[in-house]
Amino acid sequence: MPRSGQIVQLTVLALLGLGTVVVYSAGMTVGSGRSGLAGLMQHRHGVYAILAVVAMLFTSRVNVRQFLKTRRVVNPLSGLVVLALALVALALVPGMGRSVNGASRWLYLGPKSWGLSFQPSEVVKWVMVLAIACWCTRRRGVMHRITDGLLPPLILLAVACGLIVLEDLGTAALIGLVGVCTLIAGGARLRHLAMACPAAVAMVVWAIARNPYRVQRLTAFLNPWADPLGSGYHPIQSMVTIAQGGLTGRGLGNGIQKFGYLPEDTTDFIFAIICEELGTAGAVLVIGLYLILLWVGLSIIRDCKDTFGRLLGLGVLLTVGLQALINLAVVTVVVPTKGIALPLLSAGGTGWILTAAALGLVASLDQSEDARDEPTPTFPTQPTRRWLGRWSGRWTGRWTGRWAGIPWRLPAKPTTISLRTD
Amino acid sequence: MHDDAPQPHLRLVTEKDLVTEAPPQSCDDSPVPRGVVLRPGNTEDGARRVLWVGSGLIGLISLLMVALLGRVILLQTQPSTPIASRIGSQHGTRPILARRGNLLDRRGRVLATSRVVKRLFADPGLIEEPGTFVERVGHELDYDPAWLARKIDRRPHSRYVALDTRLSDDRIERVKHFRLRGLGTQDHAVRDYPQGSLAGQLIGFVGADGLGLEGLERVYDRDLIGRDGELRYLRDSGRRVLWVEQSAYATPSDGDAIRLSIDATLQHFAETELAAACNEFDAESGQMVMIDPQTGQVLAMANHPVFDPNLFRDSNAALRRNRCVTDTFEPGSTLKPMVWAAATQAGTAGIDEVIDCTESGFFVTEGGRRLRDAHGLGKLTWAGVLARSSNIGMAIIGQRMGAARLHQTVRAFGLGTTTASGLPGEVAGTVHPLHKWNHYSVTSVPMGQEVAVTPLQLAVAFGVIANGGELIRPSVIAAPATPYSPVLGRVLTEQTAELTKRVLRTAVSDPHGTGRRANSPLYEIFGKTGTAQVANPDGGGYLEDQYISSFVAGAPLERPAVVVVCVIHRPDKSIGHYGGAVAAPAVRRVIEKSLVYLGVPTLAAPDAIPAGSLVARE
Repeated sequence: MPRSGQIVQLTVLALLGLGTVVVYSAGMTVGSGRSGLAGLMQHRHGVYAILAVVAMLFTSRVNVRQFLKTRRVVNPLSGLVVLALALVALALVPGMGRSVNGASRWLYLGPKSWGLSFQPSEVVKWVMVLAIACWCTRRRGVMHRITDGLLPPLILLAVACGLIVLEDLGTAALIGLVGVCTLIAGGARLRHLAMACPAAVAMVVWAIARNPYRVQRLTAFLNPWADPLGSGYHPIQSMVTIAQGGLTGRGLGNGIQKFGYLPEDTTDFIFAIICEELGTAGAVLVIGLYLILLWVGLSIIRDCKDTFGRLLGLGVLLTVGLQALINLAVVTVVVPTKGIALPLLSAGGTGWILTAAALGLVASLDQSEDARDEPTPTFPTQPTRRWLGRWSGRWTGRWTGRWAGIPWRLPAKPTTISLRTD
Repeated sequence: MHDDAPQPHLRLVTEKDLVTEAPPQSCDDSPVPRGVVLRPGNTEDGARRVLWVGSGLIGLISLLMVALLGRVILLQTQPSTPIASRIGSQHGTRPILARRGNLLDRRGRVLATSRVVKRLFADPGLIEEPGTFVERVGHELDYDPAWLARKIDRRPHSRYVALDTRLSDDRIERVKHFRLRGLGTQDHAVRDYPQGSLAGQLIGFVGADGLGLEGLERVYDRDLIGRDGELRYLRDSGRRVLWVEQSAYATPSDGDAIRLSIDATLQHFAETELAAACNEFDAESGQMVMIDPQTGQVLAMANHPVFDPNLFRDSNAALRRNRCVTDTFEPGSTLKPMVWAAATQAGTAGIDEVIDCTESGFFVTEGGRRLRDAHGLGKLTWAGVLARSSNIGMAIIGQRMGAARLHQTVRAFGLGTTTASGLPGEVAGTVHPLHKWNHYSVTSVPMGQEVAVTPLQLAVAFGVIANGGELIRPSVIAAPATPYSPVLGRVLTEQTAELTKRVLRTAVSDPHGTGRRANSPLYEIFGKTGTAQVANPDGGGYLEDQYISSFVAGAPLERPAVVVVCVIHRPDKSIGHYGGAVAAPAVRRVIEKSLVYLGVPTLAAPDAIPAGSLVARE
């Protein structure tokens, strides 16, 4: 019986393999015998898949708790957060990013002629998971409080979502949702988060109303047949593609809808192509692989004793699971169209590599030694140095006190007392 | 409790567990003494919360995913109607034209055949710039741009304007490499009649939709039409053809070829001689039918004026009629042999009985009808009555036979019913029912009045005499699908038929016989002339100076191979109008040429054949 971490890695491998095959199948075009760099670019998916596997193998050997243990400049987390947000902001600058379908979500990697680009929001997605897991673990004693527990990560989340929502409502919603769930798991009070709810709803409504195409997507979702060749075209074609496969499917590579009928066939709507070519078996396979990923991941979390590991694992699993769920719901026209990829299946180098790497981290939780929580480093609620006012304890203590690695108080000699606990 | 050994329900509390400060509003309400806070981390509360929240969320996600899987299965097994209607809509189909079967003559020569040609068409709805369109098409494919523009302008809102219905090979080659929006080619089958107007009315023609509209093309449409195949191909969203679906390929099956009993050569002989006769006598029209009296096979069926099925669009409907079966005429004297034979067989008149046909040529019947012969013939034997074609003699015997027997005789020879040849538009002719006969009828019918026949009916009736007494069913198909006996019944005894044949031979061989102009040095021809007046279409009586000259003959005398009927309508009386003068020479020439062609031994040695007699008159 392979270990849970190995099962997770094998599942990722299976999804990536299926993804590569289906992406090549869906990307099939007639008479595109291109040469040179453009021709090489046709084979990039295989390279991405290999890179994704390498990334997963690498991260599965990383000790994630280093993020928790290292502090100050050595800890790359705060830097990563800043960098990721900066990249998102950079993609928004006209002329810097690559626009696809009117959304500038991509940043060029190298000269534009290479055609290499990546999605900074993908990076943000994972960095946020890491950051929130880290914060909740360090502050798990005070997560039930607003000001010093919940508010800082919530603000960070709001900033990240606010930057991303300008171009990509789907990813922003996903990041927000995962963030909030992780915060709840990390100890935040539901009623505190409920207070932030109106703000989040307002943000979503504003984002929808701001872009006319989002309103169009909404109406197209509500009644695709009103305009079957215009706004309703995409949902209709998606349903037709799924229905066309029937129970048995048309056979791998034999799909028809990929020949220009179904837009975004290699990316967001790859699941429809899988359903068309592999039939119900394909749908069962994909959803089954995700369920394996989720439940085996959960068993890793269960066996993992420390809060940070659990939170990080849960964040990653929630991201993958929710993203898959939203994508499947979009493709089956249960929710309005959003630009959300199917993790590990939809074509996209950034997505494949980072998702595989993140799931590699989950696998690493299983491989690493059982790490129990260190005793919680708390800081006194009674500030000792009053000269900085009420902030002194919180902020100076953070950098100078035990938080920065210096023991706040010398460990006292353990006094042994027996206590009846029942 | 009393010793130092830790109890199982007790646990070691280190100093770290004990915090003296007030609890930070923790929700922990574990039963610990006030002032002692159990930190969540140490009791693994935080980690447990992560697990519980995570299990709940992942369980929820899993449930929703399974629900979506259900939605997928629902879509795949029971798609809603608008979606189901779109499944497979990415396909296009293209028919593979099946070849219509050929029509062949009895020797396999092609009378009608099909081929696929390309049609050039324009879709004005797709033409971006009409001016440059016609300019470019005209330049590339060598058409007159102005002519193209006119064609397109005539129907500017149509989606299909045929520019050229039969693209030449040269243009097909050029159009292959010439793509222009709004211009397209389409395959379609066309029918060719390589023999031109030969047997045009008999063959008929095929309409633009590939269905036979007239003639044999229409009668045998079901056999001739093939089953079109179908090509199912996949298109991408840009309507480009990707590939052909192997599984949905329906092979076309070509139509069956039909071999007719017509012999193109004999048909040609008949047509040329008929045309020659019609032209010589300035006749309005003419028909000639040649059948094999033994089998009923129609060897030739000629109409004049001719009709070319290749040009059916420019012809009028009257011309397209196969008047050998669709139109009737009063046979006149050509009916006399049948009545004569019946009367002879019945013993109504003996062959050597002398009948007074009057010297004056005038005779008033008992009913008070005035009859007239062409010449005063005096006393004739019963055989002579037929050979000299005496109306008076036939009328006398007709009266003797009585109406019932006469009527039965005429019907027995197949008159008044169709010949069941299966030719389209065939009519039954007219034989009035007995109760409509008046006292004139017994004198009129024996000389071929009051009845109307088609040329084919006459040929079949004459065939009874030629083949030894059997009524046969004519056929235009060389090899009928189900073998059947052409014999419908016996009308005359062989002796009577033989006798009649020999008497008819004298009508041709006798220098005074009416058919003397049909006498041939090559073959023993027996036959009967007929000169009928044209019945007034407005009712009663006959038109002045309007005649139908006919001649019906068989040859050779022993075992006749052919029976030929020639009917010429309204010859110019100033040139000639007697059947013996107008139709008989044409029949003779046709019989001579046909029998030579068929390899029937001639009477004289070949070098005795008069020069030029076998050459068609131009």
